[in-house]
Amino acid sequence: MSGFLLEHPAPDFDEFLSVMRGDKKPDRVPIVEIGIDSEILKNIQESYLDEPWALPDGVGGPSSPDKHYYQQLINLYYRLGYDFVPLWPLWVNLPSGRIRQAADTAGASRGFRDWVDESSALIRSQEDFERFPWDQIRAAPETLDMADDLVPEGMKVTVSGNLFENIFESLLGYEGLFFLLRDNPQLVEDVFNRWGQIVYEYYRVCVECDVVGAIFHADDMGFKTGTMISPADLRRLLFPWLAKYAALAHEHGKPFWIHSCGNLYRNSPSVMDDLIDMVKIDGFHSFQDVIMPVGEVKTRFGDRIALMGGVDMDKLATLPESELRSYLRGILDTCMPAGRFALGSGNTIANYVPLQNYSILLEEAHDWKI
Amino acid sequence: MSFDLEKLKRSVIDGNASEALDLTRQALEERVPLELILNGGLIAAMSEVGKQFEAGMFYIPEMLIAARAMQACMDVLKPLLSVTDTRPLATVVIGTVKGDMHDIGKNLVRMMLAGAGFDVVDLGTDVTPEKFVQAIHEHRAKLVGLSALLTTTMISMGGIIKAIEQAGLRDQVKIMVGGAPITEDYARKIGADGYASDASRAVTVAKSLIIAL
Repeated sequence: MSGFLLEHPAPDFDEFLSVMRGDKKPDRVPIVEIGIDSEILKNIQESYLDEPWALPDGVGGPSSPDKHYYQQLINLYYRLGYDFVPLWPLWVNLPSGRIRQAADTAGASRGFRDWVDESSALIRSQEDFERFPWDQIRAAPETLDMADDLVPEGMKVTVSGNLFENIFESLLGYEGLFFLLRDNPQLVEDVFNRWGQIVYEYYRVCVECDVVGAIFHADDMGFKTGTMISPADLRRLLFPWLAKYAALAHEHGKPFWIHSCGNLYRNSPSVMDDLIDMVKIDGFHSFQDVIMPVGEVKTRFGDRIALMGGVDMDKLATLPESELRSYLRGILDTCMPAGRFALGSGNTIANYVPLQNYSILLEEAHDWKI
Repeated sequence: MSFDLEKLKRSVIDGNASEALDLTRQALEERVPLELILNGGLIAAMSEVGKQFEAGMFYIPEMLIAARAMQACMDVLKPLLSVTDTRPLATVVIGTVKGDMHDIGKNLVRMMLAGAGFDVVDLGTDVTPEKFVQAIHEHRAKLVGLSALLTTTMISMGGIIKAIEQAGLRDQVKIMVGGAPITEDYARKIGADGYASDASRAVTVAKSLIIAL
């Protein structure tokens, strides 16, 4: 059984891309995450690399460009065997929505877990929209400069923005969005377009950087049995922007991947069909077994896009070792032979995933024979 | 012009609160029986909304808009219902479990249960086992609904069921569970009586559980 951290990592993002595009069959199992919680990274950093973690306890990410943090973050992804590091924008002058807190029940607890206040909203009216500081919002460019300095040979970063998610979690709020779609659809459209453009500008800067290997956009669209808003509203409001982001990536020879939780598989054509045919995504991330196990998604869509992730969060967090290993091998046996698959969690390595289970995921990926 | 029950139903389904309210007032003026307005109009409308949601024709916005229209009518009917013998189907205590602040799913369940004729006591989020027990006792609830969004928070559902047992209330209630990581298997494993995959199915499960009481 191989170790948890690689002594001699050999990241190869170009190879990763070739496998995801289906240009070649993999000779190893590619792995992917769109995020690893700070508590997990801290645990690995301090237990295995014997160096204090760059962030204070309970802090999920830097509030300003922090080279020491990015150095550790990139080095961890490198040693864990990833071909890329997922980076999130550091927004400047972006008002944040109201947060509620509850005691964090995770094993690697951060004390309190932040939750979006689902009834709050930054914009409730046209007046709020006009007053919002749209022109002052930007993503700190230093993040990419730091990444460019720090990323090892063969490795790249991906960049992840939110459009829909920032609208329902913060700008209009969940309830705000749902009611405004009927009460003031023009306001909803205006917010999508204004924020959509800001995200586009962020991506436009990113795709011109060599260190950026892909746009890995993240927008949860649904829940267990369907999408939050109708597919018709998604097609009207969200997908044109996603298509613009995808076109931007493609114009620069880079793929566009999307992360979305929720049931995107209902009806025909499904939302997944729209993402593939209308938006032109190259890869999809996020899978929940209660919705559709990744093996079934592979059967239905695996010849059209790359699938990334696949390990159900509940199983990753709770299965005992022998069952977890058997479960992981089952996914690999089903999804690896045809290629266009990278193993990872179905969401993120959250702080409620035991470190041992995360290491088992990595070990099974490293040890699986094609 | 005589009252049109179908039109009331349609206006709630369409989320046309002002029309629904006008029609409700018209019905009252024409002395249409309260039970008919409620069951034949409003509750029937929400039942149709639930069906449309399960069929993938309605989504959360449509449900909320319809629930808003119904609530506007209920605000007019409630004072009148309280002086009649009209009783809710049962009292349900619902809440999101300790450590979990996810509200919207639970709120949708609340709306759909209220729309189906249940009396819903919503304990909110981050609810302790003790608070569930107290609410069941205080409101003489027949049903309990537990919601959780994360694997790490759903674990406390088993503890809540145990707390209800230890309080000697388990035989008085039926317990249903729901939320993103919840499955039928998990519900069975922790000793819950029912599982619902979304807000509309929660109504179906709730109705089947009270029959069993």
